[in-house]
Amino acid sequence: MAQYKVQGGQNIWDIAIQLYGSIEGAFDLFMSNPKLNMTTNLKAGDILEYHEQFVINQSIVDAIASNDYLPANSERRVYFKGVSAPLRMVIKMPEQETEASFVVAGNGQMVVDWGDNSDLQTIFLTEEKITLNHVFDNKVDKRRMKIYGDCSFSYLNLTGFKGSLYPINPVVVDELVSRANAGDLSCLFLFKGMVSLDLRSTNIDDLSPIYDYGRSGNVTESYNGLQLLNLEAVRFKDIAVLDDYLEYLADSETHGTRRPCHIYLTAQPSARGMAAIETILNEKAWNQEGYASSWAFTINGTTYTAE
Amino acid sequence: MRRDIEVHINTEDIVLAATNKPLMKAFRWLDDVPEGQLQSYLYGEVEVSTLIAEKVLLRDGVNVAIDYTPIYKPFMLRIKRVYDDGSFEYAVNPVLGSVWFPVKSAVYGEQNNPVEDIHASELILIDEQFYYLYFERVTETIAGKSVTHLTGNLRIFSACQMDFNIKRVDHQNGNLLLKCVPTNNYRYPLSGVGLIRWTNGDLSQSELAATIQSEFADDKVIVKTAKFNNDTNQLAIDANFDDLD
Repeated sequence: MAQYKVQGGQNIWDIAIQLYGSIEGAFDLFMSNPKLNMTTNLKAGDILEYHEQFVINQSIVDAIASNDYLPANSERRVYFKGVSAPLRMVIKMPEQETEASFVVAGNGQMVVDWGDNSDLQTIFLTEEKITLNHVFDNKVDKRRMKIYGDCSFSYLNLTGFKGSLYPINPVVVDELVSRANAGDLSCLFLFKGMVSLDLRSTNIDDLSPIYDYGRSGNVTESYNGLQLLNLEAVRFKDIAVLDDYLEYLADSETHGTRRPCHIYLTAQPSARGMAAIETILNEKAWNQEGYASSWAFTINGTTYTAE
Repeated sequence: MRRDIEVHINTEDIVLAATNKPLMKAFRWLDDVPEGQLQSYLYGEVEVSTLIAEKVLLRDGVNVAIDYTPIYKPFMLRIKRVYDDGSFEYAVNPVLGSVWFPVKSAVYGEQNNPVEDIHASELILIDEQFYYLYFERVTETIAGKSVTHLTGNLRIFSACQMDFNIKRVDHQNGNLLLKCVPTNNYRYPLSGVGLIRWTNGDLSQSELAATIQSEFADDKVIVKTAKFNNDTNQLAIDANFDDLD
């Protein structure tokens, strides 16, 4: 009985080709190594035993040896990935992207299907921020990542993440950072409970997904509405996009009951938008005592607050 | 001429091709909840021509394109039947007696309750854009006779039918042979040019030409010329596929 040291990237069939000249040699490997089976995940350095006198195709064994070929086609996990946890989001990744990365914190268990041949990744979320990095192990003409789980996010940083998120159902996200991203913002419609939203340096053609952030019928001690919105260095498709949002906030019917928010801007609203800001700041009921703060707008470093 | 299943040369996956080209009808979500309807639902409208008889419409269903809708609500649709002069009428749901058809899906169905409401934001589970709406019907046995009738619901499916693409594969085989590194193919472990082995090499001094000729000849293909374009990094092979079975 001889021994073979597994090389990096080799699966059972590669070794069978190398030692026996045919994948049928795998049967001898199974018989010679009782613990080996079809699902064994071989690693470089593993030792396998085999009958060196048993060769199925000598010419192939000789050719592989004389040419220094190393059969190494790696494991191909292309099986169906069953997940019992509910699907929360589908993510469209540009097919040319070779990796994905985001930072997350929260509660519950999150399962990530990276949309390639890698196994599902399970993450137990805590308040500690963790960075998830993944290099895709295949090429595709359409990549879809999926996020499953009974979880909520206290922090989600998508800066540098090239994918567009499509939530299946409402997802609790307390703090979202998505700077300089060009992805679809429609996901914001289904992100609930947002306290802080940082969209710095983003191209925005529509703010309607956040119109009703922080709007509630009842403000209670435990209620958290949007309290910080950073739109600095945002390139609006048209300044009317910003003006419309400010007017929506200033309209007594659509304002509803909101916790005051501090909004940071570098784009200068038009006269219409500035009038809306003035209305918000002068409306005593919206800046009354009892809130942790009052409405504030910081535009190019100048802060406007309720008197 | 050889025919086989199409394989994507870069992703190495089997190519799935659409086998149908359904004609999409105009679709829109309504901005407001129609008077008298439930606030908990979202409402949409599909527009079809009256040239399609209502009986045919209810029998064949309609195809619509719906973009991702980030609203977590079940929804109902009405079918707007438009005449040539622009006037219109709505198809009537014969079960509910209204113009609205609740939309159901089996995506979350269980054995005892196979069809359930689907929320607008969940449509991406069925398809990313194209849907087939089928006027659901059931067959019951009444007094010994089999009777089929509408349930009043619309069942929603993907409108895309996909299948393997069978095509002429002379060039596909050539490309796969160029890409295949010896030992990649378990049936013929020594086959393959393995172009990647020559990456960054001096092609003029290598055995690449002889390897290409030899490997293609084993596949009964005679290579007439092979030119490497340094600008595009592409290898152009002129080969004779005439003698192939």
